[in-house]
Amino acid sequence: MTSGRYSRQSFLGPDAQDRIEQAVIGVVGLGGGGSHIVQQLAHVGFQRYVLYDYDAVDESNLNRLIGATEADASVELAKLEVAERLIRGLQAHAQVTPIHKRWQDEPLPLRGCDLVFGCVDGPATRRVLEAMMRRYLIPYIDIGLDVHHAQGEVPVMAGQVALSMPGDLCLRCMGVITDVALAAEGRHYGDAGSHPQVVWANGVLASTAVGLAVDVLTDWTGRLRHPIYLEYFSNDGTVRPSPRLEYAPSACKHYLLTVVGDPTI
Amino acid sequence: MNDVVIIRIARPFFEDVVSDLRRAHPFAAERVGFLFTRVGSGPPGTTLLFPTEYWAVPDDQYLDDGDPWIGAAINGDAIRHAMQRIMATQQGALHVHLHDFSGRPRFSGTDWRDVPDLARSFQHAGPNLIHGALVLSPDAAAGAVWLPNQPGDEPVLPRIAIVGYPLRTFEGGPHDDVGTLQ
Repeated sequence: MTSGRYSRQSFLGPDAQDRIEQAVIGVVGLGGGGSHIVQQLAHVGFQRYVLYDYDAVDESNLNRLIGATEADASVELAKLEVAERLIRGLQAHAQVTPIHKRWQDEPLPLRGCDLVFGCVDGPATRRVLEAMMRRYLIPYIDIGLDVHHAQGEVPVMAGQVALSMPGDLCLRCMGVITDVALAAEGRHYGDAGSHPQVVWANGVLASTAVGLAVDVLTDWTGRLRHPIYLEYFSNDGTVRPSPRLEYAPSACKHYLLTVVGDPTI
Repeated sequence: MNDVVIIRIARPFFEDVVSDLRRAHPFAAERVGFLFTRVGSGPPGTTLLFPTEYWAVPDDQYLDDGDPWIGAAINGDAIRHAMQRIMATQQGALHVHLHDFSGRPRFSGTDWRDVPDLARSFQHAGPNLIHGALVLSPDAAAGAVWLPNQPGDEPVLPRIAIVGYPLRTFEGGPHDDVGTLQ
């Protein structure tokens, strides 16, 4: 499979395409971020997917949902089907496991993945998803985007890409998930409203996340050895390591490498 | 019956085990140890194994039998210790040794001769657990495991992931090339 199709990415290494094709990739959430990720994974050559989403396409998704059409919105096609169609258009023989549920309602397929992307809303959901990834020793790449709009100010659009690698710092250690954010989400539980999202910002985050995954699998840069928490500031057009890492502990205190597998009583 | 096994081992732990297995022994050509594994439920038909505990066979539990074709032979005390650990913790055991060259290792003919018997012994200590063997290299691994109540000698060849920077996965299943059962 390392034919001409992938010749432009052969710099990733002689075994890179095999590693890409063998990897089982999970994507949780196939909205603005997840749809971008799935499309890029298929272009890169990934063949094995476990996809989670329980939502359907509506008109308000069309400003950012990669692969979705007006016809999809008119029939409220499942976002899963849009994602699978995207993959099949590029990788006709890909193994796709689509799960039209919340991941919490059917977690076992996710545990078979080698690497998982989380494109979920809110710190509480992130925390629970990361906890399961840690429990089953699965590298987890988290992306998120938000727009803050203080009265009288220009809106600020910012997001993050963070890698939670078992044995390394977790999202709490890095400051991606904070007690303040969890508490704020709790106060507004049930009143989340709609999260502002735009296609170009999602694209930056998704591209950064996919690049990270390819590096984790192929080690083509030979430099991925540190906690990775990248912050994106759309207003500035920058992606840079979070300054919060300076204050992160040297080792994770929340997840131990010995506390893994099914919980035992 | 579950017939797919995935072994995930954290890279820091993997590197510690490789480092220990590299220590020179007074007379044995190689070292061996045992990994004890926790279990996880995976996709249908799949069991996840997580080696979390390593026990290095002490120097005085190796046998000096003078056979140049055997890298290391261990005595009954070592086997008994492993079996006691299986019973005490209800964790499966994997015999582990190192082929100290880069790339995917394969089991030798000697490995294939001895490992099935060892796994059968372990089944007596933990009949409902998965036991077997791993052979490591500095950057890769191969394995063979026997499931509870599995008939015959043919092992399940697990998919293996070394989780860390970089992430390495190695296919298992019937077409895996980890050596030949003799």
